[in-house]
Amino acid sequence: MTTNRTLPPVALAAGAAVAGAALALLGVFGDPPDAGVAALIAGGLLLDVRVPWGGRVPMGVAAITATVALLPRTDSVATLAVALTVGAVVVACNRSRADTLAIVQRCGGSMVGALAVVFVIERVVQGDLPTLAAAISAAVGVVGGDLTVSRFTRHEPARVELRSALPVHLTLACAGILVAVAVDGVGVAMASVAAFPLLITRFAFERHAGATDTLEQTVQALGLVPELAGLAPLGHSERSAQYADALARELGFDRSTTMRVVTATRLHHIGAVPLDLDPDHPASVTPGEIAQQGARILREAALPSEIADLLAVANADSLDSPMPSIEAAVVRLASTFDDLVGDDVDAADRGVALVSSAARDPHSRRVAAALLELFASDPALARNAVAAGDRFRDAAVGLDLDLVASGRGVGEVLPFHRRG
Amino acid sequence: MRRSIEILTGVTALVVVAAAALIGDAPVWLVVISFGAVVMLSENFDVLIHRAGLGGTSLTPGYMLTMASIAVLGDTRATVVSVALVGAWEGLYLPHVKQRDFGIVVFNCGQFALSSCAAAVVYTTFTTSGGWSQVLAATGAAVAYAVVNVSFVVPYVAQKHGERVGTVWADMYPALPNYLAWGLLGLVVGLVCDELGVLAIVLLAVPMGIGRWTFRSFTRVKDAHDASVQLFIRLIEAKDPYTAGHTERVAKYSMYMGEELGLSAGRIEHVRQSALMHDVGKLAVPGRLLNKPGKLTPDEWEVVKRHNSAGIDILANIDFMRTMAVAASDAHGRYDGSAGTNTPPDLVLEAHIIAVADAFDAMTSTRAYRKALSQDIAFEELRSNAGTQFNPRCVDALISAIDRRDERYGAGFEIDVHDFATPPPAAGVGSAGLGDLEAVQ
Repeated sequence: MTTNRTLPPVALAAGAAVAGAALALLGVFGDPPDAGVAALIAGGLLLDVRVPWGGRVPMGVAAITATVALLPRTDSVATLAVALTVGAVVVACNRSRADTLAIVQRCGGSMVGALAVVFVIERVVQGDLPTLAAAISAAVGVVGGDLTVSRFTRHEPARVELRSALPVHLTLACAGILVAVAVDGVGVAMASVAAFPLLITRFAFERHAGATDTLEQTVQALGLVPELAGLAPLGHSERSAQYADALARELGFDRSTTMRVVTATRLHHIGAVPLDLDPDHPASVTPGEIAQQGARILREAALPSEIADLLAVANADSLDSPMPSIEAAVVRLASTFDDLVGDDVDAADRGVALVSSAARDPHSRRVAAALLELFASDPALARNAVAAGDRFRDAAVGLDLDLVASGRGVGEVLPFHRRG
Repeated sequence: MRRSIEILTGVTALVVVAAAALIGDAPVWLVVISFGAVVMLSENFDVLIHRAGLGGTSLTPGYMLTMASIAVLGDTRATVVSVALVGAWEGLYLPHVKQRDFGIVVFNCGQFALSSCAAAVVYTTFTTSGGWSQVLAATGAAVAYAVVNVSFVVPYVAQKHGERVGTVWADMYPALPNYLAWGLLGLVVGLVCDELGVLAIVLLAVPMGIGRWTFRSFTRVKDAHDASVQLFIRLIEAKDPYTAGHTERVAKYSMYMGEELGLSAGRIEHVRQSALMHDVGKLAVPGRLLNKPGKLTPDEWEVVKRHNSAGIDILANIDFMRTMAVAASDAHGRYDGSAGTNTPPDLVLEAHIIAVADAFDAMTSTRAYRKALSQDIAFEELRSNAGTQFNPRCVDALISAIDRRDERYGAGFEIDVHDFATPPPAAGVGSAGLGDLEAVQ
């Protein structure tokens, strides 16, 4: 469930399936649970679907739904326990402790949720549920259990956002319900066919997540352009983006808002590139003019208009200018904080104090408070952001930054610090 | 030609459906009308697959419902004709009707009817009650649908948009697994629709709806990425305005060579992206050197190369840019300088393709230091340096591609012409290489 895998997911899933079947055949458990089902679930737990804006959901939750709906209750408890054990052992042998903990939390939560909901409903109706009703109940329990674990865990690999994960969960729930009903109606062979579209769905979500990654990287590269041209310190956009991302999480932004804010932060100096080269413009250029230029070229390049709009309002001419929205305040304060601190980690406290004192409007004050809270809870934030920016400086060994600048004095207006 | 295909398809479908009705029983009109209406409704909310150069091919949700109707009807004498008529409803796409493009309506109704008929014939012939043989029959039905559908659609779309059949096929075949996946899903839902009741529609509609939402979102993300790449190009051109249009031309020539060399669609796209980014190192080059009229001194040339290289190294820290940095780097630009490197051969070939494209455009465009050469002289320069500076396969590919398209570039045929403060001198053979920029002290 992390991006650092030493074995491909399919290999892990196959390994879990073989291990599960072997355990059952050896009669390790007194009355062995359905070996095939346990193996299938274990394999499915190790294959996950990437959620479009971050996080993953294990595909095996579809099998959990079908298992709880089809097997007698005690058998399903035993089968799920075997599957979870096998899956956890396979992950523990190949990946980190963090990944093992994540799989136990997420999948265990789904299993408990499914069993609990079915158990409660059967107690209420005082009898066994038919397959369709049991499958729907189990699906509700799976989704509820997984999202509950994700909401309350502090464990990053286990976290996924409700709004982003819901489409994935719905797709897997529909597959689980259909498989359960199909096994009852037309047998295992045709029912297994109903699971095949899950692979297509997984591919579609993976492709989407891959496209999102590529877009984020392209924006990251675009943020470097003003720095390559000597119009901002090298590493500034990367450090500012790290602060913006941390602030967005602290303030509880959803993934798409976070992406918008971080993108605007990365690109907030982009308008300086054409301005610097235009001989008709005077040497003194204000941050507001740079922001307007940046918004203009983003719109002309047909980037999403909400990013251009955010860029336009987020960079006012003075630090105490009121911000029209909390997103704009995040962009402004994140970039200003790095303007003040740069790669001097020891100056972080002073930077927080300066930013807080300059914040006048409600949005800026709220963001400043969040910044204070962030540094109190995560003292390594500045160090990590500086390290992220340093990888670009390390590659710039041959670059004479003073020579790159056009010498038009843009740096005299903005609080830049030239580094050679 | 297009009209002939449309009429032929329509007539063929009519004949086949009539034959099915004669051989079997009359259609089950309740199924035909109820399923058909839902199919038609869902067709008008299809997902358009956008591809460069094509009007568009679509993956439609009505297909699942058509397959479901096969399972609902089961193995009866009325199944084939009924399913063919259900499938025909897929062709009733309202925008075509509004535009009065009845030819395409006839074509689509006909080819969908024939595809559905093929699926129904295979399923009813080979199905049994349960077991893996039923799975095989279902798979065969989905494959039959796909084969007939693709056989009609690919040549028709190629004819309609003036594209090669191979190009249309290359765009369509990644979607083939969807035929199998969604067709089988539709069949399974059809088999258990008695148990599911109304929920059957939910179990079909939800995955398809989410799939459509994901694809639309993917398209938006991809568009944003393309816009970001365009922004990159604009910023590079803002740095060096006299080369406006250069990046796109290099990308075009690179794609020409990719097609001539038989590269896959994915590789050609990577070549295109790499070509669009090949001048990214210029961003770190001092403007006064980049646009200096006349030749650079050796020291100035060293600064240009050092800053260009540093700019590429910085951007290579980003995953997306890493493989493109190979093409942008001078290390692989020369054909005879690439041997023995650890870079994968695929990326080295890309660098060679872009080097040839870059050189061709440099020669056929007026620059600060020289007027544009004629296309013939540019070709002569490429041939004389093939095997040393340039990859000979790439040189041959570019010349063949341009000749085959009957296009002309260079002096007298320039598209983007700039006015320089100091008019650049005219030049002839031997003035193409960048080494000529260094002043002889």
